[in-house]
Amino acid sequence: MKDVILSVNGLETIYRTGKKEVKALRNLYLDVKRGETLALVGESGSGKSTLGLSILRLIEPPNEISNGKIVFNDTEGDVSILDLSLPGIRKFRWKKVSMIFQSAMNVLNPIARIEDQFIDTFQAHDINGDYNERINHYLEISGLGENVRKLYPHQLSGGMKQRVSIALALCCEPDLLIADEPTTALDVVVQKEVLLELNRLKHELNLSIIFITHDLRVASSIADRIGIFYAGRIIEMGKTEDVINHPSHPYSQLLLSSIITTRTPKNSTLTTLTGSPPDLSSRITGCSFYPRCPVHDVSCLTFKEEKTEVSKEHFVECIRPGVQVNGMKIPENIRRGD
Amino acid sequence: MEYQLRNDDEYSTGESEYLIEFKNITKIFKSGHIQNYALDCVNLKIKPGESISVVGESGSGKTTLGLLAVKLLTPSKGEINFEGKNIAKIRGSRLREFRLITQMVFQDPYSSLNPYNTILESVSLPLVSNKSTIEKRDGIKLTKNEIRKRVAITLDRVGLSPGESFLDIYPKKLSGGQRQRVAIARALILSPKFIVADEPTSMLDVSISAQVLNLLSQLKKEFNFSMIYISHELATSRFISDKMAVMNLGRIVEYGRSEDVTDHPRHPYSDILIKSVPEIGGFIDSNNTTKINYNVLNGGIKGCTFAHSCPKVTDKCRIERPELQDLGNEHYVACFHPL
Amino acid sequence: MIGNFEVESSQKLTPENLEPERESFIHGLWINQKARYGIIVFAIFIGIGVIGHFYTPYNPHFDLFKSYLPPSYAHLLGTDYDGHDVLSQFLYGTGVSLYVGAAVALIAVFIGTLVGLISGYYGGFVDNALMRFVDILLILPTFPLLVILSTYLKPTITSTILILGILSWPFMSRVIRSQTLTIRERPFIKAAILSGMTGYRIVFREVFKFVLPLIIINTIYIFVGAIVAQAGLAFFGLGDLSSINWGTMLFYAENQDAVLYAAWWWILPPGIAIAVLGIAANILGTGITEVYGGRAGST
Repeated sequence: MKDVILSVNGLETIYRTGKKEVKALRNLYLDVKRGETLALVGESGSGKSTLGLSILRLIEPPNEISNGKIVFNDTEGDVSILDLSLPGIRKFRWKKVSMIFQSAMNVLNPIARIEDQFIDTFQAHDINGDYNERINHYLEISGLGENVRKLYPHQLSGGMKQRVSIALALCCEPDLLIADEPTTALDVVVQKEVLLELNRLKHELNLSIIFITHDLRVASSIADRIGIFYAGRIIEMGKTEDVINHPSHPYSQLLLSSIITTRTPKNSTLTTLTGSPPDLSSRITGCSFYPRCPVHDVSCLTFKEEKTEVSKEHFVECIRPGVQVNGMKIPENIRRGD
Repeated sequence: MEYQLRNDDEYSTGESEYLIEFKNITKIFKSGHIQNYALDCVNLKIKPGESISVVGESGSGKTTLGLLAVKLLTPSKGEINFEGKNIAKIRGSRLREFRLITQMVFQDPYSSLNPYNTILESVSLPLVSNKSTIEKRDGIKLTKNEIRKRVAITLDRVGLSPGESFLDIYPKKLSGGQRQRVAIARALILSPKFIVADEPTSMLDVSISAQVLNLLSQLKKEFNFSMIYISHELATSRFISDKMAVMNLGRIVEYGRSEDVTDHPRHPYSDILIKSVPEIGGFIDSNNTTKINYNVLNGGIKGCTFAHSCPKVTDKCRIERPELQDLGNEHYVACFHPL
Repeated sequence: MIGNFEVESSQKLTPENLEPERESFIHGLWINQKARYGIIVFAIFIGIGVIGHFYTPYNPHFDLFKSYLPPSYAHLLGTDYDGHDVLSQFLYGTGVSLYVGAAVALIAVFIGTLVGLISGYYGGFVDNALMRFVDILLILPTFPLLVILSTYLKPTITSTILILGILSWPFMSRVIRSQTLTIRERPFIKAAILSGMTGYRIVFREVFKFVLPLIIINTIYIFVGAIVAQAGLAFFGLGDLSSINWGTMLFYAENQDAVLYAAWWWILPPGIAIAVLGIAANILGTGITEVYGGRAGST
């Protein structure tokens, strides 16, 4: 089996409102390895959620995927997702790649019992047979009891609803799971439980996971590799320890330094980002981070957005890879062990 | 007198050294026959200039506490004293005075500002509503220009610079972080003595969050207002506050200096909370997990609120309510078996 | 005076954001296509209504010609059964119909908004009492009521206006109350309370601004609805038959068997006018909301 389960090449996705065209993804390249948890970290508007939607072809007109290829390396051969027909993509969704959303209520039907939602899903994907066993099985592995079957979503807590949406996402046995901020809306104790659950399921079911989040701490605690999103591209990517301990891109460094932990000295002033992300409806020349970069110079304006390898499997898009922001050291308290 | 966005007043705290005191506060919400004890006999004292973070998960009662502190809700039992006087009883001009010096910043920047008001209109609301009081106090007429000037200065102060350029636009042109700064400007413009910040950064990205926290930190030092910082996020709460109160199902279960509470939690619940915070320092820890039962109906709990899920629970915990006991060093915990 | 620390210069707006709304609200209305068409059509009708009240080619009440003359240069819309010039009637009647619509809209909106805002914001006993009263009014069967009232009272334009006004405000109040309820709990209202704003100021400034688009749209609909209702009443002979308006024109046309005589020039104008006005009202309402919402956004 191939090492890579999904590869994205030159992906461009455009959002249209009125007369404005916003390039949410600009020529994006990404490989997801089989069996890994890949975290995609970025702020609002960086394009990370758009990537998830694009992979599942959930981009509706007037928005569109205007360019690129997404290839899913199935056991039976390679599938070019963007070239699939409509019935083809429907068969593909949920059985090969599925998704969990930030709010479980984006997934759950408020007026249907939990077990009926499973049945609907099975039937929509031509899965026949004994539904009861399957439902119980998926509920169990998501940490829920059979008693949940007859309940309605509003009778469940936030954490339980999210587990149901995880179970629903897994019930057709996909190989790749896209989790879009699955724990952002949950309390911190429940968040940990859900993250542990996802981790365990990954091992039990041989899943690959793309975990989308804005919280680097969450990403760091569960991911094998991290990709940092900025202005529609991935500007840094590598093994978690490498990205966290040796962030190469100034944006990554500033992101890390904005994180407050329980060991951040009180009454200190945090080094933070200034300004705001670039307007993706206009053309970007040179480096997209230039206006906000504390260590930019004129050469950055001529930068062609391409990757440089900083160390083994650690890539960055910067004209001076490895430059440190103002000699800033990442504070000891947020270095990653292992 | 020149307009200064500072608060140099001497604090007249009456008989009490505390600015705000919660005494045996209980708040019950009724829905049909079901009673929900959002707050169950809570005691808390805040000194002038002190900032206290109130930390807990949903349903802990932390937001309710904040709303009570600014008199947006009234307690079912108990009393809240501001500068030594019971705020339940104040009306009329006394109430207006109270409103002048207490303010709140809300969680959702997208609904904190009336979308049909310009930034000027939103931020000047406190000025305009208290026109005559302020005119007397400052000895100056609040003309349109004077109001514009004060709002612009305050906007500069919260990092929206140049303040003048933000006055006549509508909130829809601003990002979440910018809107939150506007909300802070609105809270600051009358130089309050006390601000409640209800999860002000939970809907913002991490880096914007850091900016807003920097801002709050600086403003706190400069203005010396007391603050209740409500949050479910332990690290930022510790960072911004002097003291921390951990809440569970309507009760304060632990209270002390924030670094003490986070570094040496003494209540089993606080311990679990702290261990659940995702840390950068390593892979997620699958030990140290206690499954918490969230199906607890809070209709007035007999024993300890955490008895249903506590790893150290004994029979005593289920029958008797533990009160906050002094562990020394200003660290209090409500537990029969503190860690 | 500003303070002695470095303010992050991070919040400069981009040049396009920096500009406050260039156009005033009125100018914005003109630019928006829908609003513009709506305004033009309304302006035409109002123009006709005003001018037509004072000047018509012939006197619509008294000048008589041959009956059922088809349209000609002398009589652009022909004549009716009695020989009145239809065009003159139409021009004169437009004013009356519009007047009825406007008067009803004014009454209904004023009472409805007041009741809705107060009921929604203050809640409690006041809300309960007012809404029970509204319930009663809503239960009343409109048409039978109108029939009965018209039989016992001498129908005049004023009485028609009063009745329609009383029957239109309850629905309006419910709509306004609904929206008031949704925003009552929003942080910006809480912030207004914390600013020391008194209740009635909050209601009539902060809440009002928010429900204004709803008020405008409903005003327009009540306006058109009242015109149609009054025309309908007149058509059934329940209005003031001595008045000349769109409704009575239709009544007399029906009464005098205009269809049998194929006198389309008598039947069509009022009907088409109502239809055109209705469509224009719809478009205008949409346009106004777009402009009002576009400036401020409803997030």
